[in-house]
Amino acid sequence: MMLLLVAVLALGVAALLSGLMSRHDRWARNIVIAGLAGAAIAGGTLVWRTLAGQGASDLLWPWLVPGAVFHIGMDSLSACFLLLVLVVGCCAGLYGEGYIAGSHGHIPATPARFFFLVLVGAMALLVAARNALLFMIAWETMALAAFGLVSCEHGKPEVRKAGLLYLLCTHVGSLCLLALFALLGSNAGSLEFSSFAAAPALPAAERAAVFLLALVGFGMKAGFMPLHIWLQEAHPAAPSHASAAMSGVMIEMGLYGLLRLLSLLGPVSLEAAFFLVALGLVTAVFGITFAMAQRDFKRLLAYSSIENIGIILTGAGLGCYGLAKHNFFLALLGFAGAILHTLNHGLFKSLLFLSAGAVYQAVGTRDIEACGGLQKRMPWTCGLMAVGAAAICGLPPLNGFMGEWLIYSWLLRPGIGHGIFFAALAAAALSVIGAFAVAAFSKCYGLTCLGQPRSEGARDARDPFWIMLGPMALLAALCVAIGLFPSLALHVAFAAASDVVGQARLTVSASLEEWSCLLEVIGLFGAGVCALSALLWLFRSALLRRREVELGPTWGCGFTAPTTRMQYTGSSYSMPLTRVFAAALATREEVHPPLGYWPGKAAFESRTPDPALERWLPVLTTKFEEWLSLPRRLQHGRLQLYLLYVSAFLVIILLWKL
Amino acid sequence: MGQLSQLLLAFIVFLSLYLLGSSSLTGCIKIVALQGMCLGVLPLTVRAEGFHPQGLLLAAGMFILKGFAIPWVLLYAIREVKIRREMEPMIGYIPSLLIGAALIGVSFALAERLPVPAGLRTSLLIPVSLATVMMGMLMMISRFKAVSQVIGYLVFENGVYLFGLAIAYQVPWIIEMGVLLDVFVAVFVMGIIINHIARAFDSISTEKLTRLSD
Repeated sequence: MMLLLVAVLALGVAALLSGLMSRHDRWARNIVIAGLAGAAIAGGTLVWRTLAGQGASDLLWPWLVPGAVFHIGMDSLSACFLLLVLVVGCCAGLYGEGYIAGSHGHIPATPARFFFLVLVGAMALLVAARNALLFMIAWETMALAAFGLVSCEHGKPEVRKAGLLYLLCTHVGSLCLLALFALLGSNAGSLEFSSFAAAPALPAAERAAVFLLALVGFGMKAGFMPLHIWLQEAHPAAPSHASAAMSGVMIEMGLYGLLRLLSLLGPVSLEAAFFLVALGLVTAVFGITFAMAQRDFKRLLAYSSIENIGIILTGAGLGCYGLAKHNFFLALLGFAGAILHTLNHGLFKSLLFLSAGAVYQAVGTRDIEACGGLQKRMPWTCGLMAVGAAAICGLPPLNGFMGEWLIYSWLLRPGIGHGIFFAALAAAALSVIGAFAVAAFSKCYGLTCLGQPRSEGARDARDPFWIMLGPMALLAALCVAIGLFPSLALHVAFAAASDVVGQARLTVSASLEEWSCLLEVIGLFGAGVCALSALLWLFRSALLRRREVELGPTWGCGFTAPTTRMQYTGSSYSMPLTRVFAAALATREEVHPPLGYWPGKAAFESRTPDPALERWLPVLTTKFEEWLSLPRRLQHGRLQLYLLYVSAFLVIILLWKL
Repeated sequence: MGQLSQLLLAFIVFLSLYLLGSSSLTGCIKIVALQGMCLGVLPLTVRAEGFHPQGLLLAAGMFILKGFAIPWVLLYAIREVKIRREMEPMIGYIPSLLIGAALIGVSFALAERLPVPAGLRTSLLIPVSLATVMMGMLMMISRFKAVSQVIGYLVFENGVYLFGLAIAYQVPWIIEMGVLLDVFVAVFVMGIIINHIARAFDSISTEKLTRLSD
């Protein structure tokens, strides 16, 4: 367990030193890299040992904080998430150094470095915390560090707005968590996680309260559907490496919290499991539908995070269903699907955010419609982005498919007693989500990387340096490796799921056997497809070796003066699908069509605001403001009346107490 | 000795009441000075076992600070901002006198029920201190001028001192010195702030400060 402390300390010390060294940029950079490397080595060893079955005993230190013990421990569930934190944290941190240098001072280096390291360190501590108070401290540190990252470029008003929105949301979530732990702690008589598990069962009403509080508290961070409002604002506002860490890991911490709580408190009711599945599917459909309609590619990625969180939640809900039915096999399968998809999502989403950051820095805008033709100008970045996009769509030779496949096979498993209607509906929803994801990401990749450049920035774009490409390549390689050889990742996911289910290794190994065989075959097929494509490509280049290949301009449909702006746009690409969901999307369009025989100016603009943030929330907040304006009358600035309040209060207290 | 202290205490209450009914600022300051002098003498009369040099020193310090130094600062402040005799009470003089009388009654009732050491039960010290605190509070609440609020604060502070005297006969002198220093600094700062308020708002009415609220 000391290894975890070493990792967290390395990150913390590196954060402090990089802050102190803000004058010496090169030193600060080396310190950050050294800190990340130290954390990776120490944490990686710990993860390796834990997953290999040589679990270290828990570390218990008396603590000055009342009611708390500094208690950290490590099981497969923690190790699984720690692995994600370390991989994504190190890749994004390394990339971040290149990104900060490449931003030419737009991103303030010192806070970006400091808060990033604090964020990674807090998450590493969070997954190991075995005491509610320690958990909350790590949770809040993580949330505040992320706030620091979101509002890095606080010179821009939209960034400040996003930062404040995020801060509000995270505090609402933390408040729910505080209430949750207070409830559990008062029942158990201690804030230790182990005592929660040993405590007598709560009455039904309090169980429902615990469920709701956990759902809101952790869901606010994870971004379940009506609680996602900060995600699509904060991710575009943060520097790209920070949004990679936030989207790839931090929001998953909400799911870690839910899973940890499940492992402590045992199964939820059947209705709650159905509710979780339904919530997950709604979140996923919502996320991907709105992702399709976006023009800002980081915003698109943020919505796609909501979609993936929905898929993960669906998996977790299916696991809960298994638990509620005392069918441990189903429970394992559901949770393993959720955890595997969490790992995969962390990898490909951070890869996509990192490549989006590279594109943003090269082109100078996040507008999809202003990019284009980048495949020829930034071949590495775009190639890696293509891998990420294919993976996130769940296309078979890559890792995105594996997690989703586990969830599918849960749903399509015949004769396991649950309503076939429910399963069919869920499977249909999942496949719709997959299809929409393909639409959204073919739009994202196709419009940024293919075609002709639509702006000056896109015309002069170049690949970034290796310090940015290297981490992206590593993430992409991991995506491919898990896709082709899934058994190791499957092993990890099942081990973690068995911690949630709390089941003996025997059932675990039996089910693992079945699924790893199947997935290995799929992986082999994928490898075969890859090898075949490589062969065909080699064959083609061999055939073309002696011949001259000419590149001609794209056919301009006979226009005399074609411009690159006449290409397919993102809105036109996604129009067939967005029209179907027009009622839900409520895209605002401003159309000035060309009129008459000699049309002058014509314009078209569309924007898809978030419904929860811009339509539903204001209804609530205006009501709240009305209520809150009543006590505001007390705050009128008259000193005398303030004194009167104080003295009246004191006299009343005196009279009451005597 | 005992009778002298009771007399002084009655005089202190009387002075507080007088303050509530007085309209002249300079008059008020002088009355507070007088009250401060009475407070300085009071510990000498309360202590039955006679004088010792420490007590004498403290009494002298109290006497000079509350009787001369603080009033001088306040007089300086109102000379600087050029106001003499206007009090703009939120509650008129007669009503505030009546309220003050009612507060004295309340404080006697409170003192009856307050759990205090047995020897103090009969003494006037507790009710007088409570009454002084309340009247100082009332003064702060009912007046608009910053100077009169400082005066109210001083009266309030005097009441707190009286209460301290009642609770602990042997207040360690370092604490008393600390309290004295505290009051002096507070009044000093307030005197300066009054000047600044006058400069910023062309008036020392705290009513104008509402503009600072959002």
